[in-house]
Amino acid sequence: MNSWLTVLLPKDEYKQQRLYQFLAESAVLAVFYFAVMIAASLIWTLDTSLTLLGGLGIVLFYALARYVLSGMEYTEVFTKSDYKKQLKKIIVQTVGFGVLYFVVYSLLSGLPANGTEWLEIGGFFSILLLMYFGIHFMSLRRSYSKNRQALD
Amino acid sequence: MKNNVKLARLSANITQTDLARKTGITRQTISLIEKGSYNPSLQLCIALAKELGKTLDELFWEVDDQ
Repeated sequence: MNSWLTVLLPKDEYKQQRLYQFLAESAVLAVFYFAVMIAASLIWTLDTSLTLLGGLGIVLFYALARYVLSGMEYTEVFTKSDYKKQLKKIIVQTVGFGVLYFVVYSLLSGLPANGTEWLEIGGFFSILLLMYFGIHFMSLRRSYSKNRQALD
Repeated sequence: MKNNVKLARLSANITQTDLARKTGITRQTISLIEKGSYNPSLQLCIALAKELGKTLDELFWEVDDQ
């Protein structure tokens, strides 16, 4: 398929086709969302930034969720040993991501000044890392399951 | 779509990983093609046929058993 989007997508044609599908579906959802919002704006006063962010959120969240649940991220994970190796990689990546994020955050905003700030930042980081790990873990589980099924 | 990719690959003694690397796709895609869960493009069919030393007919043409 010839599209400027191809440059941004993986070379594998199955992955490409599925990603085109997810992006097209999310675009249709966004059109519906904006149509409803335009109609709603005739009745109520809507916050423009929030409404636009909502549309962007739908597109990104839908495409990401479909991608994660499709099980096509980890295409080479076929055995229990591959699975365990990849899981270890994800754990290391999560820790690395946390450290990098904390360093960048500290450089930009400075270190927390007191216990309350540490607690706030700790909570925020915990949620962030849990989400990062959760998304990758779910993707790995789905990929492994899909790959095993394709072998049966 | 039913096909003979798996049989041809096994008789050519090529692993899924090797075939995937040679045709520029992932092992998962090879696996899905072999299982008939994904219909490859004509371009990919030709690449697979070349790598496996078979014709498109031999790999993908379905003959009904009478």
